[in-house]
Amino acid sequence: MAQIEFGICGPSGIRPRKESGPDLILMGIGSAIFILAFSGLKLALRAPESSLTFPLGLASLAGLALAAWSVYRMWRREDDAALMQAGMLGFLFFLGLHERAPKGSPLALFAALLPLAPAALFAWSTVRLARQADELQRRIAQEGLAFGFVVSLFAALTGTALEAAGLPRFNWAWMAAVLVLACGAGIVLANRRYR
Amino acid sequence: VKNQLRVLRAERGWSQAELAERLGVSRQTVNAIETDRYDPSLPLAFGIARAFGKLIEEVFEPKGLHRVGQ
Repeated sequence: MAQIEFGICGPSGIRPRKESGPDLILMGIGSAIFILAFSGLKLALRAPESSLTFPLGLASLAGLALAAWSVYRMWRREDDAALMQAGMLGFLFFLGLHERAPKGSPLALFAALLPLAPAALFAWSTVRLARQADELQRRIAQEGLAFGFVVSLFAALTGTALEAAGLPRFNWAWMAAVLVLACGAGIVLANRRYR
Repeated sequence: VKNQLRVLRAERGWSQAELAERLGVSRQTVNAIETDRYDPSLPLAFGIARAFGKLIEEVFEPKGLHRVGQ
């Protein structure tokens, strides 16, 4: 059986296969090309009749294709650990893309929905890894998730109370990060207990 | 529960990884059971006993618990 360790909110902390290393780098490069070109495209679209629109659009597609191709290679290899990392990275890369795009435009809609693709990849590979986990690893994940849930709950309640007490408004989008970090910490602690 | 895993494994010259492979679990699980940090489920306990060709009560015994009827 594969040696799976648990990390952030699931069986991560696992190492992708060696062969997937270059693919993860390629995926990062492809995403970086896409983000740069797409950001340029958003600016170009604001300037009427900009000559850069077509090349930037082409570069965006090329970057996205490179990232997708590297993910496809990992998928062919059935390297769920690498796919999970690629999904998480892709989600973080594409999260803020919709900003500054003309509101209501197809481009803004595309940018807002794009993070769902890597998020789905992350969820799918996490479930696959969780299915491969044995009973101890599932218990570790369960304890970690329980810890993360309780910490996030109290963080949310404290945040609400602080807001009501007059502190500046809190951006609740950060609660996702709090949840992930708390789950990660919980899983690390549970892992240490059974080491 | 207390267990004889380390002794039985040493008698057969199996490493933790080898036993884990036979049982279809991770090495971490075998180590946690051996060091009494984790009590296995009943199916896994039966699997461990079967791997050593023993009865389950020859491998595991309750710790600090009175047996039913005693």
